[in-house]
Amino acid sequence: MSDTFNVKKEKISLSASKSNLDEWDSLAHLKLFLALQESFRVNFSTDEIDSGNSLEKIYKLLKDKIR
Amino acid sequence: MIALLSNINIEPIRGFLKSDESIFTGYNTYIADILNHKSVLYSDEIDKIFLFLDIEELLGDMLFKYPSDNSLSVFENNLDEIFSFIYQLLIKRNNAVLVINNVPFISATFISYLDTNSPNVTFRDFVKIYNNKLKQLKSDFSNALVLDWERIVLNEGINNLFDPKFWYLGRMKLNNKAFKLLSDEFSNLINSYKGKTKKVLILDLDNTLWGGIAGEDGLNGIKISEDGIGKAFRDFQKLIKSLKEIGVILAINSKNNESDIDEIFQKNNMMILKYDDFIVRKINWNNKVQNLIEIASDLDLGLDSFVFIDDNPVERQLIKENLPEVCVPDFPSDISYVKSWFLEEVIYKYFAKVYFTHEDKNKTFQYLANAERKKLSKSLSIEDFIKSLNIKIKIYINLSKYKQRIAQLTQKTNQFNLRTKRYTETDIERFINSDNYTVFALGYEDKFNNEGIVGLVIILNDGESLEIDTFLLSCRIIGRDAEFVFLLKVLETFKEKNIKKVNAVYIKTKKNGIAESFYSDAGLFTENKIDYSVDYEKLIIFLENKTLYDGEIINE
Repeated sequence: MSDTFNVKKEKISLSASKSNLDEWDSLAHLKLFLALQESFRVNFSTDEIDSGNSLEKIYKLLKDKIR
Repeated sequence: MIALLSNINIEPIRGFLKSDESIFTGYNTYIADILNHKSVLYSDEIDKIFLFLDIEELLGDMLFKYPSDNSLSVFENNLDEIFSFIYQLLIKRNNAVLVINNVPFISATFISYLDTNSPNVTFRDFVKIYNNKLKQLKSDFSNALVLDWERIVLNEGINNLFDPKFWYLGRMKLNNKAFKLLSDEFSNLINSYKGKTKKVLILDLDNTLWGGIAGEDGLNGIKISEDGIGKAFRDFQKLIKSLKEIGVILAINSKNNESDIDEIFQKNNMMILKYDDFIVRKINWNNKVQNLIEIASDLDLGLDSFVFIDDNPVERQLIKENLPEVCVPDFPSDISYVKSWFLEEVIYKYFAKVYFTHEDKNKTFQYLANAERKKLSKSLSIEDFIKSLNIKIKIYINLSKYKQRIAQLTQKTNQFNLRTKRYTETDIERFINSDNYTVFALGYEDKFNNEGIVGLVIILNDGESLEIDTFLLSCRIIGRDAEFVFLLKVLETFKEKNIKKVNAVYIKTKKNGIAESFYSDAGLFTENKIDYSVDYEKLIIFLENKTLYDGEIINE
C-alpha cells in the first residue's frame, strides 16, 4: 500500500481510508486493487472495488476471499 | 525519461518501469500531446516514448457495425492520419526512440464465425491494416521500434491480461501481470536497440545438449536423435545453431573427459552442433566458476557479456553466487519445454535483435529522402487536427433528465474543474428550477467516438453580471478546444439579457493544475489569479475569434 500510494509506511494507519489519506485518490484506489488482485491471487467485483474505500473494509474483503 | 502515451489509461505501468523515470500524459490525449509542441514529448528530458494503442479503442464504434469495404477504408484513413502525427513526432524527436505496439486479432466479435468464414471484409482485416502500418513505419524510421504485444497476448492469453472491471472503473484495461510483461518487454526492446545484449552463450553438455551422461552412457547411449525425447535435444541444438548464425558466440563449460566429448562430436551423426561451432571449450574437471573466468579472459570480454546454461541447479547457483554479472537462467525441469523456454527466457531476454544487419541500424531516415510522400508536406497543425475531428458539440440547457450525470460530474471531476464544488442531484434540481441559475450540460461527439455528457457549466445571473459558479470538463476531451466553444455558446444564450460583466473564480487544488490558465486563455482578466472578470461583449468577441468550430444549443 505504501508502494502504491508512494507514501511512507508510518503514514498509513489502520484507520486509513480514502477520505483521510490525501494520496488515496481514485487512480491510487484502482492501482491498489490491481496490486491486491495480483498479490493475493483473488478477484474483486466492481462493487467490492467501489466499496473498499478504507483499510478496514479491504481487510474484511480479503479475509472473506482468502478463507 | 520515458513518456507514456496511450488511448487507454496505462498509468500503473509506471510502477513497473523501475530503471527509468516515466510520465503518463493522460488517457487518450496522445494526439493532442503530439500536436502540441509545448507538451512534455518535446522536452529534452524525454529520450524514450512509448505509445500503446488498444485496437478496440482505435476501432471505436466500428467494432459494433458490420465491417465493410467502406468502414475498412474509413479506418485506414483514420490510421493514416494518426500515423502522420506519429511521423511528425519521429522527425521532430529524432534523438529519441519511439516504441509502439502491434496488436493481436480481436478474440471475439459480434459477427462471430463470420470473422473467419466470410469471404468479405472482417475485423481481422482491420487488425492486419494496423499491423501493416507499423511495418511501413519501421521501414521509414530507425528510431521507431515495434513492441510485440501480439506475441505476449498469444503466450499469456487475453483473459489473463485484460480485466474489464478496471476499464469501466477507470479506463484501464490491463491487469498488473500485463503491465509487468509490457514493461519487461519495453526494457528488453530498448536494451536491444542500444546494443546492450549478451555476446556469449556458454553451455553445459550432459543433460543440456543431449540426454544422459557422456562418461556413462557413451557415444551411442546419449539421447540425441529423431525419436522420442532425443528429438527435443536436437531441436534445442538447432536453435542454438541459429543463434550462432546471427552472431552469438558459443562456448562449452562442462565437467567431462575431453576424449569422450571429442568422440561424440566426431562420431555421433545426430549432433547438430559441431566441435568448431564453439569458440572456446572448457571440458575438464575444474570448478565451473574457474572455467568461466578463463573463458572471459580467453575472449577478452567482461563477465556481463555471458549467459550460462546448465541443467544442474547446484552449478547454476555456484555461478550466480560467485559471478553475479553472468546471467544464469533456470533450465526447464522437463526437456519437452526446452524450445519455448529457450525462446522466451534466453533469446528474447538476452540475445534479442532489433536490427537485421548493422547497415539497418545505421540507415538514416529514408523517409525524409522520400520526397514523394505527401502526408508530411502538409505538416498538420493542432488547429488542422481539431478541424479534422468533425467535433459536434451539443449544449443542453436545464435538462432535468441529465441531473444524475451532472451531479456525478461535480462529484468525480478533479482535474479540469475550476472551482471543485460538489453537488448532489437535489442541488442540481434546485438550480434547474431556480430563476437565477442556469445549468448547461455539454455533449461531445467526434468522428471517433460519442463521449456523451462530459462537461458542465452552472451560471448565476444577477441581472447585471454572470457568475460562473461551476465550470468543469472530463479530461478525455481536453486539448480539442471544446472548453472555449462551450463557454462561448453558454455566454451567447444571455445575449438579449443586457449583461455587462462576466465573473469567475479559480480555486486551486492539488489536482486541477491543468485548468489553471483556462480563464486567462479564454480572455478573462485577473490580478490575483483567483478572481477573473471581463466585460461581457468583449469576452464574446474574444471567444468568437478564438474558436475553430461551432456548437449547437438544445433547449428542450
